[in-house]
Amino acid sequence: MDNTLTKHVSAEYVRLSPWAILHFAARTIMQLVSNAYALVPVVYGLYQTDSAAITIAVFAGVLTLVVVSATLRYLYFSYLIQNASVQVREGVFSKKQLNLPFHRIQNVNLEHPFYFRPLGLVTVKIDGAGSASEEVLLAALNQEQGEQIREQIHRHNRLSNVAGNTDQRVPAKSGKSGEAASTHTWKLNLTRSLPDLVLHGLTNNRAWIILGALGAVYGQAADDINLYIASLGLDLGSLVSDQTTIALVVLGFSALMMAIMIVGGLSVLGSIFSYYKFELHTSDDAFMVRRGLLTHHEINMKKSRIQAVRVKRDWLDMILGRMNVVFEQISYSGGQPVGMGGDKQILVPSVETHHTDLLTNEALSAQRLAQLEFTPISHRYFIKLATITTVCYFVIGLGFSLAMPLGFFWPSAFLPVLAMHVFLEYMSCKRWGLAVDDGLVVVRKGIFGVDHILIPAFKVQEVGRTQTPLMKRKDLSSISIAVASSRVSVPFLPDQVVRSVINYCLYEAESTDRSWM
Amino acid sequence: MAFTNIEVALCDLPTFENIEFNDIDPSYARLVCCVALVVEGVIAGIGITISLLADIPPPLQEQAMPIWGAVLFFMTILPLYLFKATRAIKYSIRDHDLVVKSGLFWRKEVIQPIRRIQHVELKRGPLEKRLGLASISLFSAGTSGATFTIPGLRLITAARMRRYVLQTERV
Repeated sequence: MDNTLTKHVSAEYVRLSPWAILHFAARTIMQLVSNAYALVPVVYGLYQTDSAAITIAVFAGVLTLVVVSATLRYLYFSYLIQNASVQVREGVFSKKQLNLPFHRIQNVNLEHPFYFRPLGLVTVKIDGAGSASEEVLLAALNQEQGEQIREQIHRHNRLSNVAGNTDQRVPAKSGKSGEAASTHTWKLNLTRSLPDLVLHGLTNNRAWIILGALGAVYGQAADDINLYIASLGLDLGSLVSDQTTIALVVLGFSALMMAIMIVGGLSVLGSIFSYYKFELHTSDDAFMVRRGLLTHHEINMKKSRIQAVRVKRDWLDMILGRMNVVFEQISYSGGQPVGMGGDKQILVPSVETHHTDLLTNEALSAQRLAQLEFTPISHRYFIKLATITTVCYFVIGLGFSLAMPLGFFWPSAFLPVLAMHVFLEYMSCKRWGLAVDDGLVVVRKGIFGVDHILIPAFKVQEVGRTQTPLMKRKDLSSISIAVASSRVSVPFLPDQVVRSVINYCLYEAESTDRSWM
Repeated sequence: MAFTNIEVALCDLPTFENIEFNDIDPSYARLVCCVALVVEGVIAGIGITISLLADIPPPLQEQAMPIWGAVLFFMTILPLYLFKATRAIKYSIRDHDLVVKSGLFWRKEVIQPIRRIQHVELKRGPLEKRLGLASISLFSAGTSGATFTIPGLRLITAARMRRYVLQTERV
């Protein structure tokens, strides 16, 4: 360890191994693909030309472009690990220099992309706690080198934690074997088998499954609906000739079924690709996840970095008794977290109930979710939602029937949808609730499934309370709590509850010296 | 870390309900009102020019009175609303956090623990400068934008506030 360290310290900026060209090429191709819409005219143009020569030339051009740009990016990329910071110089035309001190590093992940696996090389992914631009990818390192860099950073951060929680001015000589530099003792906590992943793939596409179910119902009830429409005195056949209608319906239905099968299959495949050989290891202060079929990921997350834990269950998960557990870290993406991929969070797919309790306990020392008592939101929120929805539907329906008078057609088309919508709102309002227990704020929500969001009260970044005069009359108010990974809000709770939860969160955040990072 | 239990803790927790709030400088509300009036004047000028120059379809011409009525109504309501809404912004500083109250209908209270503040921004536009005002924005890691902005502070108050926030040790 020592001599590699000194080597790093004394070294100048170094280049990656030439194999890193593969990495840059892969990234260029990824960028091209993710901007695929820009390529549509090109592809269309190619499709139009008959000449094979032009097609080949274009492909060759693209290929050279990828190779040249990858080579250039490789040549202009150099890094240096020195004085407890990672420094990177990159950029062909616009130069970029990044200096990422160790203490700002959130995690160090090792990736084994499929193109490096035969070579036994890894890509080290270093995430800063700040914005997405604070991300360093060191490609094509040896397994050893990668692990050394990771160990070096972890060791430094562990030492600085021992030296003092808030003090970051730790001597740069983190290499000397300190007493706290004991290596992690990892303990295998959980693995996921192939069937688990198939389940995960299926349950994460519930929208399509619902559509499929509707399609099946429609198949049986199609005749009844036709009869009903006929009884209304509507002759759809006069609009479109009978034959075409049937053909259209059949075509649409089979297209729908195909789409469901394709998307479902893709989702299962995606789940297997991302989570194959999923292993979750725990140590005293960190989680480590290994996963991936082609590209092998190794993700480390310190427990103290976890800002919130989401336990998600869709209705299909409810039936199967599974849950998806997500550990959220600091992220600036805002909005809803993404499900697949993403190293800023750890997703444990399709966990059995008893494992979930183990996981939440491991991450936040949380109690059993099932035993929490939730304060439900007021039924007035449902009344408000339902009123707004009904008025909207009424106005739109009125517009349609004025523009295209079809008798009872519009009411009979809109009313079932409206009823369905209001029913969903009712279910969602019934689920919504808030509980506080032993340092944790737990929000429950969902329509047919149940999601729990667990937030350690002392990690709260800001809290808010909203009230309208109408709500004040009924002694209700809404609460919103933000942590560094996301924000949750719960509407129409009893005002007393909101106030005491806010006071509690503030007390926990302001009275303890525990760091939220 | 001592064990905390909510049942015990809730009774003697410090509460945020009974805080004394400070108003922001009244001249700021007038400023907002004036700016709104000027902007309205410009838009109205453009509108009148267009209505004089362009051919207006007859159905619109018939409805001229109600349309002008609605426009005038909004033009009077808007500055009034802005004035009231700005006057409704109140703030308070406690030992460990800042509280901002705002909103006329959706009354909102946002509380930002000082420890969690990442950075502070003090801003002064040209008009604010003339009135000796400044606005202060607080940023935490919880949101991509500012937690809140307190506008219309006297420059001295804003600077003092900033110093107070930055003095407090952060965790």
